[in-house]
This record gives sequence, structure tokens and C-alpha cells, in this order.
Amino acid sequence: MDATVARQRERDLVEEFAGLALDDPTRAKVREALIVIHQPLVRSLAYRYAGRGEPIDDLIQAGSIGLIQAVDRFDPERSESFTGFAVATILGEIRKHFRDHTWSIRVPRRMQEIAQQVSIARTELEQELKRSPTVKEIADRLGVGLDEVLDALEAAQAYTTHSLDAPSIEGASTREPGADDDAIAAVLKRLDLAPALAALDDDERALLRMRFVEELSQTEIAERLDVDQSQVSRRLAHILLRLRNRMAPPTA
Amino acid sequence: MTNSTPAPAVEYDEFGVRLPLVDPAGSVHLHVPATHAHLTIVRSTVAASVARGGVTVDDVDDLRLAAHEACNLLIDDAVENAFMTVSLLVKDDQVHLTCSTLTRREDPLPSDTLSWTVLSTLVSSISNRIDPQHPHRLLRINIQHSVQIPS
Repeated sequence: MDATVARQRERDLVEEFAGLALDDPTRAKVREALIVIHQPLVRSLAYRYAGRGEPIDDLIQAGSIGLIQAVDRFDPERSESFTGFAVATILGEIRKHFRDHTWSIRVPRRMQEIAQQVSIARTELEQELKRSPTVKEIADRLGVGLDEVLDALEAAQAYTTHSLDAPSIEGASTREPGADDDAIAAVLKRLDLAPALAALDDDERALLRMRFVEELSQTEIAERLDVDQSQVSRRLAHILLRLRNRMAPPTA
Repeated sequence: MTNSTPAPAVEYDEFGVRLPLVDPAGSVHLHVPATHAHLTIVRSTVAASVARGGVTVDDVDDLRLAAHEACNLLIDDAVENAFMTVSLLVKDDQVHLTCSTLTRREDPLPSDTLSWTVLSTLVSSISNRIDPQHPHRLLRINIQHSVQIPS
């Protein structure tokens, strides 16, 4: 099948799928066809992250989840290209897999455990106190020292560094045969920001949309979400920093 | 030991950075090479210092990020082998953070960059200047942040 025909078929499928009612009996078939023809895309993206300590099959599986989400969530009226949208969600799921399953730097097991306890205690205390707890309050709750909590808070940031976002340079040995690399490379070039955005959760994307698309002020967003303006400010700053870290070339 | 002559309140280091010798407010000063490798020390020191001031974890996170981001900006334009100085003071519900280094820049940092936008979103107020009186070009980022200190 030649590339133009393949692309036309993809477009047709996407359009057909979007036009089908949820209970349409042909929907499942079209959905499956869409998933099948995009498998090479998933594999190609997964191989970009090969050799980082995670089995390639797990990465492909995570990417497939992203693909299925892309199929189910794609709205042709809001996004121009399905492939572009799919790349973003697939990479989002692969990165999420790394976040959930690996630490980007070696963190001692005990520290990982404390980091987890600190994170839980922080959320619990936030709900109990209706404000962010102090470091001492967390330390007291867990019966550990201030320093341990501080180390754990710092260690928790090891989950999200930019190293993961710089795709490894891969030779022919790890490249998936048959993958349409040029077409994907072209899509990826245009999508520098999109994968970074895909790594955000729905709340974070909603927040960015309100601030930068709807151009609401922080106070207006705070009113809409029924939270404090300072919380909006803080969350926006964290999101922007994360985006920047994901897009910036790795520094020394 | 009693001393008839009061100790000088400040000393200037070799670059003319003002370092207090006596400070009842208990400010914290960190003097490290202006390299990315030292950002970890800056982050940890700032976080540990403000945490001991009894501020909330959210504020600790914000100030840690702000210090990192500010020093990152300094490092980009620092002269070769420069040190950077981070001074921190927690006073009542105000945190004052000053980061400085010798710079190759002619002008202060522009405010239309993503880094600066992030910084200004993160903290209550931020400014930067190159000290014209200074014998060397010292770029200084001043950060002031109102924090919550639960009683």
C-alpha cells in the first residue's frame, strides 16, 4: 500500500469513527482497525526509549494504552491531525510508565519508601489542616527527622527530570524495522510542545487552557475553581517549569 | 570574653560581596561556584533553611524552585570561574532571597523570558539589576516572598 493511499485510508477511518454513534455496531470494528494501523507508530516511539532499563514490551504496552486513549478521545474538530494527537498521548503514556516504574536517578530503597510516606502524609495533612503542612508537621506525623523529610521532598523530584525527555540516539540495531521513520520524524518536529503537554494531567491542561487560551486572570481562575489565588499561581508556575524542563535541551 | 570595640558588622569578600559577620536576624549565606553542578546545594540549602523557619511545604517547594531558577539564570551569563552568592533571610512572614554573581551581561535580565515569567509567578516580587557602583559587574536577583507560617 503506497503512503498516500495509507494516509487517505487513515483519514477515512478517523472520520468514519468520529461520525459513528457510541452504540453503532460497526464502531468496535473501526476502532480496532484504527488501533491496528497505528501499531507501527507505537512500536517506533517505544523503541526511542529502549535501553533504559525497562523491557521494550512494557513500553509498547504503555504506548498502546496511549494509542487507545488517542482513538477514544480524538476530536477532529479540535485537533487537525490524528497522528499528531496520537504521538502526544502515546509518548505521554510511555513517560508515565517511566515515572511510575523507575526513578531517573538511583535513590536508595529506604529513601523511596520515606518519599512515598512523606507524599501520603502531605496529602493527608493538607486535608486535615485545610492548608499546606509544614515540614515539621510531616516529620512529627511520621516520627522522622526534619532532614529526612527534606531529603525525601528533594528525592521526590528525581521522578521528573528532563533526562527522560531527551530520546536516546539509537543505531540501526534497535530501530524497529519497517517503521515509517521519516513521516514520524516530521510529525515529532512539529510537536515539540505537544508531548510535554501530553505529560500533564487533565487538571493541569485545563488550568493552562484557562490562563493562556481563555486568557482568564489568576483571580478569575481561582473563583471558577473555588480555590485560593495563590494556589492557582503556584500550580501555574509548577506546570510552566515542568514544561520548560521537558522542552529545554539538557544542561550540564 | 568582652570586647571593648564592637565587631565590624560586615566584611566584603574578594568580589565585593557584602557578607555580614554579625547578624541578629540570622541570615544564611551560601557561596559556591556558579555551575549547574552546584544547583543541588543551592536547592537543598534554601529548602532546609526556610523549612526551619516553619513555613509550609508548598512555600518550601516554591522557594526551592525559585532559587534554582534564579541561579540557573545567573549561571548562564556568569564570568568564567565565578562564584555565586545566595543570601536568605526569613523574617516574620517574609522571605528575602538574593542571588548574585559576576556577569558578562551588559544589561539586566529581560523580563519577557519563560524563566522570568515562571519566577514572577512563583514568588511575591522579583527584580534584578547590575550594580553600577560595583567595581565588577555584579548581577543581582532579588526575590521577596510572603509565606504562611502556621502558629
